[in-house]
Amino acid sequence: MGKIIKVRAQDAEVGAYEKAYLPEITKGIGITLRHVVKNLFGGDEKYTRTVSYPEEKVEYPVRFRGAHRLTPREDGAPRCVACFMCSTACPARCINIVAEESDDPNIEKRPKVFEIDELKCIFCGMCVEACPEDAIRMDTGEHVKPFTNRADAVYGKVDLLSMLGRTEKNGEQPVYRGAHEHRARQAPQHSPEGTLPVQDEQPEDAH
Amino acid sequence: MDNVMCSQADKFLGMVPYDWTMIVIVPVAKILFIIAVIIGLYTPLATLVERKLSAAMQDRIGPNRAYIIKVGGKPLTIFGLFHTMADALKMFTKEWTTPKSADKFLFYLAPVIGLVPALLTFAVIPFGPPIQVCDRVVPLQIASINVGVLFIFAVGSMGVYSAALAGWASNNKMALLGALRASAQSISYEITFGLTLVGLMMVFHTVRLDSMVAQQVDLLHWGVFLQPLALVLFFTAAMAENKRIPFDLPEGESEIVGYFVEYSSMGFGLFMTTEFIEMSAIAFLTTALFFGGYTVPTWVATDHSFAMWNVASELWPAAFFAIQMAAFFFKVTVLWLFQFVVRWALPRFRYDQLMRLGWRIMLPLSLANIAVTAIAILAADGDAAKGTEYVMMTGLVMIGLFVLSLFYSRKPRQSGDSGHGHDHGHDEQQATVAAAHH
Amino acid sequence: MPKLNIDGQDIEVPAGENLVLAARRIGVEVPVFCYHEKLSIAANCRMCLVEIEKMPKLQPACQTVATDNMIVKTSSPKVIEARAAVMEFLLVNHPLDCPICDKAGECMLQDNYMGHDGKSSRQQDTKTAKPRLEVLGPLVNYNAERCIMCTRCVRFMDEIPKNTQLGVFGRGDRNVIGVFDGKPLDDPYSLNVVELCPVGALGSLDFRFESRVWSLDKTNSVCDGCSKGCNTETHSKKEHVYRMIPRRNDSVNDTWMCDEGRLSYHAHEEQRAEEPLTDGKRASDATALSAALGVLANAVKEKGNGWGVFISPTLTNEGAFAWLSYVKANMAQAKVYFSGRADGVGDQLLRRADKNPNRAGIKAIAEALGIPVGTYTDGITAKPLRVVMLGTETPDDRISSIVNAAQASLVIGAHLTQAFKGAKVALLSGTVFESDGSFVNEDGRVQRVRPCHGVKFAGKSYADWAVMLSQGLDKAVGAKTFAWANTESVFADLANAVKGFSGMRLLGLGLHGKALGSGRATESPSHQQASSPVGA
Ligand code: SF4
Ligand code: SF4
Ligand code: SF4
Ligand code: SF4
Ligand code: FES
Repeated sequence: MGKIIKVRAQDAEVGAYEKAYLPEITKGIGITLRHVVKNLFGGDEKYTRTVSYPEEKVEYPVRFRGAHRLTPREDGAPRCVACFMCSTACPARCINIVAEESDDPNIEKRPKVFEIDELKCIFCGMCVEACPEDAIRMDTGEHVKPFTNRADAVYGKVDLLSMLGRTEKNGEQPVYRGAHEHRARQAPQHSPEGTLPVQDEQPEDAH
Repeated sequence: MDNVMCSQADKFLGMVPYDWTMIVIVPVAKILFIIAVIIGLYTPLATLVERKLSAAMQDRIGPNRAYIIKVGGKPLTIFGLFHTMADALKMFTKEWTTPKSADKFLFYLAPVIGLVPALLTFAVIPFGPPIQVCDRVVPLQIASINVGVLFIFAVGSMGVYSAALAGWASNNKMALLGALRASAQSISYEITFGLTLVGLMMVFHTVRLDSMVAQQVDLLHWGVFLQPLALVLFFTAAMAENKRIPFDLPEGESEIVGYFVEYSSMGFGLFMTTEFIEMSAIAFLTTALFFGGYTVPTWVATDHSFAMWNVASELWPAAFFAIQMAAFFFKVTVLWLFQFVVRWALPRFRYDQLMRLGWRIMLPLSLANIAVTAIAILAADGDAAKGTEYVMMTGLVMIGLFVLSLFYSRKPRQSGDSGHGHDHGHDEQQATVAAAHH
Repeated sequence: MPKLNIDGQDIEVPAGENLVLAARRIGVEVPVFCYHEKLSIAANCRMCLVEIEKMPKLQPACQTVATDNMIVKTSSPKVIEARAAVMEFLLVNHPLDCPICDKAGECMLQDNYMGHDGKSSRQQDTKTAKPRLEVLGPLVNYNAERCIMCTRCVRFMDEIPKNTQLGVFGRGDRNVIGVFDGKPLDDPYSLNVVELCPVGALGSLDFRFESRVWSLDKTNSVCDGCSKGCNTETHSKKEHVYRMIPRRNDSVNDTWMCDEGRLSYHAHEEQRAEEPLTDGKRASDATALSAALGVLANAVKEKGNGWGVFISPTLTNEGAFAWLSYVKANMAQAKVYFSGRADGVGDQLLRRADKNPNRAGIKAIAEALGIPVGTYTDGITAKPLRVVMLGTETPDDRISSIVNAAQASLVIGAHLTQAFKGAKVALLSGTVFESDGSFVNEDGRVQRVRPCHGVKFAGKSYADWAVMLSQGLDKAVGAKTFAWANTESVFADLANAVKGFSGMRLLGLGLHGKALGSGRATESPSHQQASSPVGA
């Protein structure tokens, strides 16, 4: 059981003073007018927080969820193992994956097609949450780029891989945590079709 | 005007019959002037002020991009002034769509029905002191008609047809519902709107706006001091009639589908224009009724404390005229701006609140106002000056009592758990925040 | 009939029944891995341990026969602890593969972990590495790391096709399932081991990485690969069928199915006819089609004149009944011949040489309507000048020249064959995945086929019987018209007209079908599991 925080449901009792509406409204207008005056004539003391985009830009908070990207392995291939967890979790049904056999027997499965329809996406982040391989992230801090054609809103594997996360942009080494990081050793080689697996081969690091 | 010019003018004017001058040329000039001010100045400015002022209120920058030319390589934006033009251009060039099943004639008619009465209101409002042109006295009021204020009621109540017709002709159930809301609202507030002015008519013994203004030369005889409650009620009712926030339930731009939902392009533009024109109309009217119109406050004229004004008016009439005109438009502009402030600062009412405010608060108050005013005037027993004083006193006493009662009934704001007389179990919700486990 | 007590409940069970089945009677599911109802009992996984009073140790429920006065506890603390321990042992070397494992979603290891373990792993050491992709045969691959050594697969090969192709090799944590030197797993029933395998160790190369199992729509149907009529569950998504797996029906296929049948869905997706044709051209123009149909109807009206009707035994009973009724009413002189798929290989287990699903049904219907049906070769030799082909599947292509040469021809089917292209009028009907109706298997069992959700044409009126009505073919001729609203109403008429079907309703066929002539008989025995291919 955690700590109990009491929350008052009602802020204060409402009396005739409040109910009369006008005094409180006058107060409200007063506050608003203070903002007007400060914002128009306040010089440096403005309340205004908006900036003139695109000349000026605000930095997004770290938790900003922008466009997705697929994280790469060391060799640049996607970390994704085409497990469909993200597309299963996606409430907008906007992830389309087609799996294929990987050349690397230690990876087995990889995406042949990995598409996110950013037009359908609601940027909820469920896909990131669901991924067991840390293969999809929303840490680019970038918007989905404007497009004039629906098809351009569908980001393919190459587009998604080409984006960088904040860490990489800052020149740091990203740390990924995924299920396949648990595989600390290589599997024995494929044995040719229909023959017995090699029994005597002892994996080097098996205990 | 010097005599040479006068005689020249007379010569010229002499060629046309006197009646023509006074009936056609002068009124047309006045109409053009008002139209120029309203359509040419206030309305376009309103679109800009609406956006700029709201931006300032909401800590934004507001429109500041549109430009036509660049000066020194930089776009000349002048605080976004060109957005006004861009807005207008946009309105005119957008596609005009008409629903297939709409009643075409009424559909096109509705916005016009809204616009015309809004403009007609200005016909009876004096916007400056009468001027003497040679030997003719020209009142700065388009039509100085006997019925004055009543004309405004008559014309103003036409506005509801615009909403009703727009909603009905659109053949869209949402629009129709919006029109119903609009009609109900307009009718509810029209009553208060009318009744508040009854007190004023009683005090000024007239329904003519020009003579009402003329009676307000004395600062203390301004409507606002004679009928303070009426001012509040009148202004509120007028804004409710105009259907802007906090009374925009018939059509809430982005949130509430309303009676002009099917209008696009300039059809929609006309509704917006009407709204802005009505704002000016309210400002004009309130200035004339409650803030002395074009008069510049001259303290009690007889005891010479502001005698300077009188001297000035005799010595230099042109300057005095200019000051009076400026005063009028200054007052108008302040009231006009005030409406923007209200629109952007107040939250929208619920529809039931709106109705309750209209019928259960404003209507009784306006009736009470009439009663009290009537009693005060009766108590003065025919003495006009005394009557005014009594009315003024009752007004101040009423305001004072009201304010006092408010402060007396004010409950201390409660903090924490120290509220009294309430069952805490009802008031408080318990939220459990699970501590993060590792 | 021993009487015993399980979890405080007294029951009486048939002699010789084991405790897993006995417990199931009172609604208690004992978790298992190695036990399979249709296989011998190995009792090597120990997942099914239960406590039996007066026995010093826990006993495997799968191997313990219910006897009189037994008092069994299936969820005592001891049992629960033992199960968790068994799970932990099984998972010690199990890889973290669920994301890339095709079994995930229907894996008994996942289910039993969620139900009976739920703890995090305490394994600190590196897990044993074993071969991950072993191709055992043309259709089956093996991932040794995921295998829990339940030997279901080995027992299946030994006991059901009686073709010992799999064995356990190695010892301890290095044992694996494998095939014998030079002998791949190529039995015609090899894919059954894939469902049998409680985990993702054995996988189908056909289905490998095609789809996750939870995103497939499942439809209970019947395989149309041969006249055995194995009960199936068709797994489809959007327009495509992804796999067919057997559905338990003890009167037909137990829990098995042959590889040929499983893969038959591929053929159905190939060479699909997309739209009606007239003279081999698209008839998207409605007037062209109706003109052609008008010509056809006129030809039908001139009675007699050498009509040959080739009916494929791949048609549903409803389709056959509708069309044969039509032939009887409007084309009384017409000769009817069978077409359909050529014979293939059959065996003692499931596969039948007759590769058509509904010959028995069509025979019964034709007989009841008094229409003699000749063989395909009869039809070819007769060389009719006017041809109706119901179903595009034929043993060979000789028919296409007959259709090409015919004065009037109508072909109804799903595939773009030569005959379909050559016909004067060719109309679309659905495949077995799009059809609603019934088949009669060679043993005379009337079984229901259902259209898969989402598969092409499903839900539209492309049922073979409905083509006639939708094109107004019956009205155009005028001798007899039909007014069926849906498949049930066709079946109702069929049940009235054909003796074997009397008393049956299409919706009353249930999951397991009914034997011909058993109308109004009771439904199949209730202890049969509705659809559990793994047959736990
Ligand atoms: S952010 Fe949400 S909606 Fe977008 S792809 Fe991920 S799961 Fe789907
Ligand atoms: S959840 Fe991760 S690993 Fe799985 S398919 Fe999506 S991105 Fe790939
Ligand atoms: S066999 Fe089951 S538990 Fe093992 S990886 Fe496959 S799905 Fe996961
Ligand atoms: S491959 Fe599957 S069925 Fe065969 S022993 Fe291993 S787990 Fe059991
Ligand atoms: S030991 Fe009984 S199911 Fe495996």
